[in-house]
Amino acid sequence: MRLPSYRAFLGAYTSASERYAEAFYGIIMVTGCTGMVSLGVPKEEAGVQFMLWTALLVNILWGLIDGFTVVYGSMVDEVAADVAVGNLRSGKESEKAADDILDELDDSLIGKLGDEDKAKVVEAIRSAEGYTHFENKVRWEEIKRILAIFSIDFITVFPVAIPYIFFTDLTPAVRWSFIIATFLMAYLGYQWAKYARMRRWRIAVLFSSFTIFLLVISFALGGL
Amino acid sequence: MEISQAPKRMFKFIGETLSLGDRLSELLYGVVMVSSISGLVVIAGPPETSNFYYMLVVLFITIILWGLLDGISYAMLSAANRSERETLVETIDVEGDAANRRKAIADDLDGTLISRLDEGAKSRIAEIVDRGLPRQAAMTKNRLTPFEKRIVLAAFLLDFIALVILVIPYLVLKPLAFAALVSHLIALVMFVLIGFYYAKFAHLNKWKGAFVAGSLGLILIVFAEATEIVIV
Repeated sequence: MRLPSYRAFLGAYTSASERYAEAFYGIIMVTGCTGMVSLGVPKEEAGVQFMLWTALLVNILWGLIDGFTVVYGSMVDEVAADVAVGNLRSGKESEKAADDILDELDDSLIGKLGDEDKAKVVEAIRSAEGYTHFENKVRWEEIKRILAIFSIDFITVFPVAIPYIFFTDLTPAVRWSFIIATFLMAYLGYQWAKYARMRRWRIAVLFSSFTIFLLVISFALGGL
Repeated sequence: MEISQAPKRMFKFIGETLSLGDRLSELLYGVVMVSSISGLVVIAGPPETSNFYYMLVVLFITIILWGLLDGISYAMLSAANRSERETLVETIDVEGDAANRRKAIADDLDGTLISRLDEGAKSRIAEIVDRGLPRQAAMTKNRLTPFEKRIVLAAFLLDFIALVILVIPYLVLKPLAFAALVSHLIALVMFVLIGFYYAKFAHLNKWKGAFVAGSLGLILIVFAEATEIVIV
């Protein structure tokens, strides 16, 4: 039996931009929280182990919260669009309904049309013979989407948490973890900017400066 | 501008910039950040009386940083989506086969409310899009639009609202651990309320939504409170 590909699974349930965003959140959460905890835990092996567990638990929880909010958030927006279509077709607050529909469609190719064509699209929606209302239910597909988002957040813990596996002293472990996070953020920023056709190096420097800033705060608060 | 008008204008600005789903998500992220970081400060902060100021400084820095990071990632997401769309427009522009063009357009519209229309309406809309798309307008460099910059500010403001609510116990209660407990309980109530409204606006079972969000909040808060016991 052939196991399903993880890459195909992610591709089916998340967009490329979402994957970049989730990796970004995952790295920031683990770096920020371990940086904060590092101020108060023992400097010996017990402290390092505690940091490892903190990193894992923080990202498990964050992954779940993030997955749920993405799915629930898009459901809320789909219901709002559904209500707007209903209003447009029944003639209730038509102008506002048309604006809401165009807002909802702005991320699709319809957002690239001129005002005249957008008005034609609205008219086609209003005069359509059939419209199936949005049926809202958390189904297996939505759960798989939550799992896809969760998995990205969870996986990003590991490169940043590697020092907590191999070091027995907290200080070098935290420092190496921040260094890894800085490079990861720079790489992520570069790739994301490349994908979005933005200035790659500028975004890479901006992203890596976030973890450097977290490190500076950690030092300023009496950390490592 | 009168001071009393400022919050009204702020909420109007947020409402115009972020969708309802995004607003609820942002508020929840703010609550998650404040409650988890304050829990960690109770574990990690200095034991002296300066704890209170330490907590305030950490919370303000965290929420400012988080608000900015969150806003920037939102704006980046929006810019990346725009770039995806531009790439698609360029692909459609050079595609000579009308059937392939229509298929690419139909695929793009498939995830939107257009997919719930009847076949006739879908094909009319695909035709309007095919004719109306800009031609030979290649994108050179993508920059954040003024709207995307406003998204950064709106996300930042929503995260800040959670901070303002959850920081109150630290201003009026002592000792710090008790103030943190009260703040965490308020956060739990906010989790339940946000879950309730998520489900309400998503036309799902409101109490189930409240229960799911409340459970996640409870895990977070129990973790934040219990780790202190582990360390001590």
